[in-house]
Amino acid sequence: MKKVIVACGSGVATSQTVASKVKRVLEEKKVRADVQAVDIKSLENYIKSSDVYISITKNTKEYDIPTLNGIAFLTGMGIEQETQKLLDLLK
Amino acid sequence: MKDAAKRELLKYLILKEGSALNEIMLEFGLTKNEAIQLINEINSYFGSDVIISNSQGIYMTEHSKMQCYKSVFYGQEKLFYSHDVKDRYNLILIELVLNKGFSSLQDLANVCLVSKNTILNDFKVIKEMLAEKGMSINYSRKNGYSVLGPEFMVRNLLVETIKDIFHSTAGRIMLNEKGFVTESEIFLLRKRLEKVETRIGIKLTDEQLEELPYILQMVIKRSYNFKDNWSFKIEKYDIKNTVEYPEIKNMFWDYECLSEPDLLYLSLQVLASNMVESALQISNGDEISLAAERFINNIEIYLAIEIAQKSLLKEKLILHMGPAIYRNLIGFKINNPLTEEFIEEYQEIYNIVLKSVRPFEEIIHHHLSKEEVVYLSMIVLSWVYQTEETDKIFTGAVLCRSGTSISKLLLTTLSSMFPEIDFIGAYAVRQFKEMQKNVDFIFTTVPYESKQPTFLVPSILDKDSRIRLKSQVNMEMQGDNRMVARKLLESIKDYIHVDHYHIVGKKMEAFFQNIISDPVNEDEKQDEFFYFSIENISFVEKSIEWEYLVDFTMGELFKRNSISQHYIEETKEAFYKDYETMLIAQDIYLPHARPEYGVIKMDFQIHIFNSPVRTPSGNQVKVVVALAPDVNQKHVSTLIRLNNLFLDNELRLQIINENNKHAITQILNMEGAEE
Repeated sequence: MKKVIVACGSGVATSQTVASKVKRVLEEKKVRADVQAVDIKSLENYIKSSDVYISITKNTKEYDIPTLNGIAFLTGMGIEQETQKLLDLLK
Repeated sequence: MKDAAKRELLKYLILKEGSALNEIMLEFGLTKNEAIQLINEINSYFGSDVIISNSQGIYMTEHSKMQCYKSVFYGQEKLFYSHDVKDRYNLILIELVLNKGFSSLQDLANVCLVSKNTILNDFKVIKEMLAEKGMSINYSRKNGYSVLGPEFMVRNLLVETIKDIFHSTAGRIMLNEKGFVTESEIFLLRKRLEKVETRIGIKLTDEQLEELPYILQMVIKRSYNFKDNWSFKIEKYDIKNTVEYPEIKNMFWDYECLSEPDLLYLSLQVLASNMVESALQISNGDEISLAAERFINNIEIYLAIEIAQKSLLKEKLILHMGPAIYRNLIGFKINNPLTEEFIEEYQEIYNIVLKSVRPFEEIIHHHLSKEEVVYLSMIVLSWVYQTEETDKIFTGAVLCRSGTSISKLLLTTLSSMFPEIDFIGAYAVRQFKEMQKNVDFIFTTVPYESKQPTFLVPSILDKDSRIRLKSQVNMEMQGDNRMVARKLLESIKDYIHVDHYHIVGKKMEAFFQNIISDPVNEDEKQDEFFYFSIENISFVEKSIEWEYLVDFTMGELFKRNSISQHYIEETKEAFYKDYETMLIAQDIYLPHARPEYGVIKMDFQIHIFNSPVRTPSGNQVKVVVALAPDVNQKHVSTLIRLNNLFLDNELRLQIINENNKHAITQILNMEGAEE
């Protein structure tokens, strides 16, 4: 099962909200994936074992796995594009 | 300092033991933000935190009070506009004992800021108090009112009254404001006392170094104003022939007209002080040493235990009993405010010590006072409590005004409450400052300013204070997980193979700092929505500065006791760094931090701004949702609901433009909004 990691500064509010929304979208689309919310400090420990990274921080570092814009899931701006990208990546 | 509001706030805090932000807001009609700003401006004016704000309230140390009084009010404005009955009794006594001229009812009324009738009423009580001590108030048409009695007793009365005033709020400032002493007189005597300390190898407590100059100065004033021949007899001990007496006597070399009894009396004040450590060589020292041995022996028999490190305890007892014997010689009752509380809490140990003190009583030829027995009980109890060393992660120190038995007992109590803290000792505040030791936690019975987590604690911890303190300390420990990881690693370093040290360190840091959140489990959280009431909604009419946004928006959560001050500080640090991503919807900001930084209960506060705040990047902030997250993620379902509501443009505008809080709560609590 593919793994999606969502990270924000604290790992307790925005990343949790986005992770819940993403999980719901994936369930609706019948896509199986493990979605986890973490805080930015622990991201390094989990990024290697993940397939997609949804970022809710000011990105200063690039990772080897595809990165999506998590803010889109919160604000609704560009959510369709980001959702489509996610679905494509998890196929 | 010109701003009237700042002067008034300072005056208010100087005259109080402590206050709370809410009380200040009510008293001065300020918002939380304005009150915090005012405090910050005062601290910035003085260049240090003269006003301390922490989870225990808002207060000033006695040192800061004096500093602010001298800088802002001295010679310009009176601080006291009334005195309670106890202060009035003390002021009347001092005025009568010191004033050589005619003391009229009107003079006393002026000093006490009351009518002549009130003074007459106060006289009734004072006369009874004096009668018990063999003294009286006399009135003559020539001299007005005065205290009559043996000079030795009158001087003791003066000293006890000064000590009493020192224990009242801003008592020292009161003595200055009433003109009983001047700052230069006190400064001179304090400096001379410090020299005497070095020369004869004694260490006065902070309390004594503050009090003694006032006591000595006022006793000198009494000596000047009442030059009648007087003497007092010292039984058994020849103080004049001790090594200390000439040194102490020398500090008064330029005070003319002091007679030999005056100098002896002044010296006894120094010798009878509570000393933290004393190199005092009392004649017949062997007698005290033997008495201490017999006392320890009695304790062992009555408690049926063998006391560890007996020689150290004996040394400690001798150090304490030296000044205690001088106190007995001049008939001083030691001031121990915890006497009754201690006896109630530790009745059994008190009774055993009371039965064991006979060897000391044989030296002074009468019973030790209840207060002295309690001091000895504190020393014994803290010794008996000594337990084996356990693994320590943090360091701590106990501070009190005197650094003597009270703080030693507190130290023992705290050591048993917090086995993870390695307490380096109990100190007087001045001693601790001189040592410049770094510790993780400070426990103090007097307000103390420090960057380290500092807990103001009562001298004797009852059950409730223990529970409260334990929770406060735990919250601080959890609030700094990085420190826990570092300290823990240090403590187990010896058991880790050197090749693995680095990796274990990293793993441990990851464990403490980067606790991964549980995967989202919708089943558990789906039905647990936060119920919004009108209390959770704030309409903000005035404009708020960006720098105060977090303090302001967290204010209601703090007032409801949902979060700690530490949580606010952590949120500030996180939010001002990452506010652009701390959102719950477009332009709806969500300041928060991890729950372990000080969330007491899950809570939300929604602020709707009529005058939008501008972020540094120029964005308008119209809504802020201040969040106190739940440690088990129960807040997430409510956040999803809020996100959906704010993503619906119509509902979003309705919430922003609505001026009825009930209407907003109806929208927020709307069922199905999370879908």
